[in-house]
Amino acid sequence: MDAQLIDWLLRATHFAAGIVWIGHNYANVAQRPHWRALTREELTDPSNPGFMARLNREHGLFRWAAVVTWLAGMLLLWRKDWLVPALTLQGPLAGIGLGAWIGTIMVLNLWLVLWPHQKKVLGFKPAPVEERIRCARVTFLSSRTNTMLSIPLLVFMASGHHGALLTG
Amino acid sequence: MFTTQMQQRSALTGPRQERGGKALRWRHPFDSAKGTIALGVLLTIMLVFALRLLNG
Repeated sequence: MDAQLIDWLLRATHFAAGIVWIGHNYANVAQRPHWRALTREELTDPSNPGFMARLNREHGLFRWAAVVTWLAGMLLLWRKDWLVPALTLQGPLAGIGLGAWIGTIMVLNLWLVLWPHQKKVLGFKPAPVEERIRCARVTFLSSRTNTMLSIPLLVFMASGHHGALLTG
Repeated sequence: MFTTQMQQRSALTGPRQERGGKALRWRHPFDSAKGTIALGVLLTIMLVFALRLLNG
């Protein structure tokens, strides 16, 4: 396959999967702009509307979209021989490299912090009610951490062609 | 006398509730969408300056 076509496909995959992942995060912020603690009733009654809403929002698509975004991005950098200079923040590639580091932190945060706690909140993994209430707070803060990190991530990713503006 | 002094001190330096106001409760910036976005923008500005210093 033509090298340019592969690059184009990787870039399109990176954008599309990124929109699915980060778009889900922003939709969550728009729907729930403020923190509200889960109540014991919401967790002990599986038919509770609040709990049902959380359960319906859970979808593996968003988590796997994060993995696809990360892989496509790294592959794209590697194919252009930009991976090492970008990750070591060299010259005009420093901007996109910093974006790649932030993206990596976000994927790790999603899979290693948010998801293990979310499994307890939703009852996929058995846990006492008090523990599930505590985990709900952790998942909220973890999700908002990714919202916050997405701002510099998008700025640095979009600066790929304007690297000199950022690196002086 | 002692009690009165304590009451006076409390009225000036005690918790806001004791001074007749509403109790201040610290909230995490992530507890509101505005706080989250503001922190994100602040982080971006700091990272841009850090990157310029690094490559300066």
